Amino acid sequence: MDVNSREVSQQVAAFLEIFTHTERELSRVIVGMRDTVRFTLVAIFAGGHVLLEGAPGLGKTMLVKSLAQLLGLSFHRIQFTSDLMPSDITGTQVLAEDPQGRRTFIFKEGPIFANVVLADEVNRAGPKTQSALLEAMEEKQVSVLGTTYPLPQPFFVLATQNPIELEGTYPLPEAQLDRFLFKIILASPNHAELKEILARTTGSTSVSLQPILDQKEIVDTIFAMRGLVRRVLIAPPLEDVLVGLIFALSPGNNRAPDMVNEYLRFGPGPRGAQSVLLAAKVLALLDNRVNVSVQDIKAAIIPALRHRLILNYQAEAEGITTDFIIEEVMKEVRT
Amino acid sequence: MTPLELISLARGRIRVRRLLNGLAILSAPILALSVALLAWQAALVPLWLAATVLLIVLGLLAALTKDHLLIAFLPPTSLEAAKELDSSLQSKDRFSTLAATEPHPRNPEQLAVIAVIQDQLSRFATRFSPVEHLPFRFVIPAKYSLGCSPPLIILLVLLLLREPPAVSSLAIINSALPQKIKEELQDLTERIEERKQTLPREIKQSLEGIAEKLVDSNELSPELVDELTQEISAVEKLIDEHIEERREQDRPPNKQPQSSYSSLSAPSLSQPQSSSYSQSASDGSAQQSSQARSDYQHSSASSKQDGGAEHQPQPASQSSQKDASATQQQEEQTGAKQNENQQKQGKAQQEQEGEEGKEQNKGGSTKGKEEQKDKQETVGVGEGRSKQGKASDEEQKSEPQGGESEEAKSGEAKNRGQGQNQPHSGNKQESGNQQQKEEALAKSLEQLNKKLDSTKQQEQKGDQQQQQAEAGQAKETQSKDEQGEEKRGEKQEKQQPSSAAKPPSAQQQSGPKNDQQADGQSKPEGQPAEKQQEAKKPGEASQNKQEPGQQPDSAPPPTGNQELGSKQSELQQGKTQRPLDGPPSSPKRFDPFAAEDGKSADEPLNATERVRVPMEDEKITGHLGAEEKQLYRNKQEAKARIAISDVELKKPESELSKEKQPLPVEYLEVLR
Repeated sequence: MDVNSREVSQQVAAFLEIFTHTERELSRVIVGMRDTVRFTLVAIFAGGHVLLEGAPGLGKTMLVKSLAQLLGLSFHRIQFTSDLMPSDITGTQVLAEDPQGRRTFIFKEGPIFANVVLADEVNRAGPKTQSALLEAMEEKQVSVLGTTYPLPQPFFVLATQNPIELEGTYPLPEAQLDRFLFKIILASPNHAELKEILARTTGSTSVSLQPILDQKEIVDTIFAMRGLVRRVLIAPPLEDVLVGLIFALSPGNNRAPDMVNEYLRFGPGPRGAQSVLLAAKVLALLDNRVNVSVQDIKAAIIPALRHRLILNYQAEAEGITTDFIIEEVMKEVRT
Repeated sequence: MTPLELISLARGRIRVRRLLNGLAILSAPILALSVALLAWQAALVPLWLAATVLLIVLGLLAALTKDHLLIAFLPPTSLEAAKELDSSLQSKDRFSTLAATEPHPRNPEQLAVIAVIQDQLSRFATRFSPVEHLPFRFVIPAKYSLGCSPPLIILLVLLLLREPPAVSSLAIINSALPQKIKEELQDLTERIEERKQTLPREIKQSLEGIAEKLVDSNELSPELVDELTQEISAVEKLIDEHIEERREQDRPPNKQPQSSYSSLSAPSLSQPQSSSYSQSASDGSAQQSSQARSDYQHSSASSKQDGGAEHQPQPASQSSQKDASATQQQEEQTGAKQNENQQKQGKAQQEQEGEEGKEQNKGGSTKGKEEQKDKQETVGVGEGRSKQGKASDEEQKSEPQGGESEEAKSGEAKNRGQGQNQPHSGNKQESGNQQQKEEALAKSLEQLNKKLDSTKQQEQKGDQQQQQAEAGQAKETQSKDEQGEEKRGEKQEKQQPSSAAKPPSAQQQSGPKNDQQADGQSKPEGQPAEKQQEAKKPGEASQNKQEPGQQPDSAPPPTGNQELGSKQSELQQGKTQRPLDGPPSSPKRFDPFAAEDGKSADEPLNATERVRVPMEDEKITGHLGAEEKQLYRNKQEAKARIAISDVELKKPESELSKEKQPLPVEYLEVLR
């Protein structure tokens, strides 16, 4: 084994250590939700954003806050409402007087200028505000009055939405949903988990989280980990498998099964395939591998593609979910 | 072992496995095709069926194997071997990634990652075992194919062990023989195949020789037809001998209880009588059979020679004898009365003993043994069972026996166009065309087939009877002993008043009983249907002769079971009712215009005109062949009685429009 390969092995080991340590620390605060925590961390190391969907009170905000605290990153929370304006997110120029007494416009940064941003109930804001946030998510910069302001790196948005109270909401359009790496659906806790939640939150003891690294180190580590993720190999046959799955989920494609043509209006685009592969690579590293396997793709495909599939009216009327369609397609497509 | 070496090792192992799987997949189709080919060559299946099997096998092969067979003979790639290793070692696509990724020499990061993968795979290589991780296993199509192979192998072995037929059906179909001969030849070959285990070797070889000659001959020359006809007649003789042998084999279990009975129950004086009777009875049956045939043939021949002269009525006693013989024939046709005959043997034997003495006193009722043996040979064609009597003996003696006996032996006089005995028809046949000879040959073949059938049925019934006889021997002997003692006592009482001077009519009336018993002894089983029908013909003819004054309106001719029932009742009434109708001591006179038995001579006679069909035009067909069907088919196009063009289509006119409508009263003045 040469020096480079030994270095790669060490990086993989460091990645595993950081990841598992963060996961373990989060589990002290978040009861259950192992997949939610894992995919949230995967999204951070893959460089993507996460859309969390769940009923109120399931710990979405707690998760994001705990994550920012552990990583030692700056954290802002934006509560989206219907009267929220884009400038309320991005910031605006205000008239200010300098020490010499001259009045000038200076840019007052909005809450989006943070490493970790929690966009709470993102579907309650209007489309204009949503688009301002989503532009910042994709471009990682904000343009105000012709001036572009870069966002701090790493930039990570965790948006939540409530699937119950849909009155007075503005569902996110498909183009904006596509910007999220994962859509994670939070499940209600089971009996044991709920008891544990009660014990932890209503007792006298409180858990205090300490950052795993200082801020400078953690930023370098995250970027190094992101670089390592992209060095993970995928064999061409597995790329064919991934592409086949993407085509099979695209209605109108000749590889698509009848069910996809029957229930889907739109399928995943190239960004969906990128998301799946990136997530699969992170999952491969978590398994101490530097190559992607079929199992990684299968594990990543549902959270990475479920919000990229647009159901038609028939599917909604029949209660068909995108998760169900993806699972059926994975059964049919030869992997 | 490095991971790349491991992959190459796996490639070799997978290649061997694929080859074996491919061979396993191909085994069943190859066997199936071999079976189909052998079956076609053995003429078990036609060509189209073999081709259909071929297509089905190929279709199934394509459906079952899909791409298994295609890839079976291709060497596996490194990637395929790596996938096998990944799945067996659960290395999570590491081997696949290593085999599929082509490292770029200028990309050190990629090389480093590949090195990490190889380092990880080296741990898997240490615990790799080819037998454990790459075991040989059959794919599902190979399993199906191997599952189908054993029955196919069995079929193949059976086909290989199967003795090929002498003449294949395809050769018969393809031969240039006439259709009728083809059909008969086909039947003959089928029968040879069916009974090749049971037929005597001599008969079988002769039959196969005939079939081969027929198939090999491109044209049926008159010489060949004559030769074949002679061979067929020779084979028929062989079959007759076989039937006789078979019958002789079947007799002892039936005769033994009788002889034991006679030796045990009959007095010492009756022993020679019974033994002589048994001989005379068996001889008599042969005489009767030949006599019946010769009667019929003689009558037909004489009527022909006389140019269709009217038949001279025979004495009433003879007619009654022939009635009884015909009844007995039908009774044996049914074959249902065998057990009854056996039960009545004890009773009838007593009567025979009494009558036997009378016959012996008369002397001259039996013929020489040589002549009787010749007559016995006619039994194979159809045993006539007319009563052996004086009149018939005399008639038989007076006949020109040369030609008649020949016909009676072979039973082919009718089928051969009655040519050998009659000079006119013989001349015609000699100068006849080829077609007539071919028809005669076809009839001979048909006759041969019927004989084969009859021998088969006889063998079957002989086996059944043997089983029955073994099972019910003890029972029957007991019941016969009891019945025999009772009947003997009754018979002795009856014989005492009538033994002084028994009228010939009484003797003749008791004749059918003797016949019945004699037939029951000599032929314990029902004859085959074809043979019995042939045997019935002389009886029917004689019956027609004997009843010239019968009224057709008053008694329609009974058929089948009705006739059989009536004859049986007549037989039974022969004992009880006839003595009441008239005194048994008064013999009936021969009167050509006399009425039938049981009718008074005062009743008016209805004269009937007997019409004979010329023998040349007579055609006997057992079934409708292709030619006969064509005869009855309407060759012209079917036409409707009323064509549409003949009908004038007019719009119907209503009758009301023609009628003048009466004017309403209120408008009457205005309209006028």
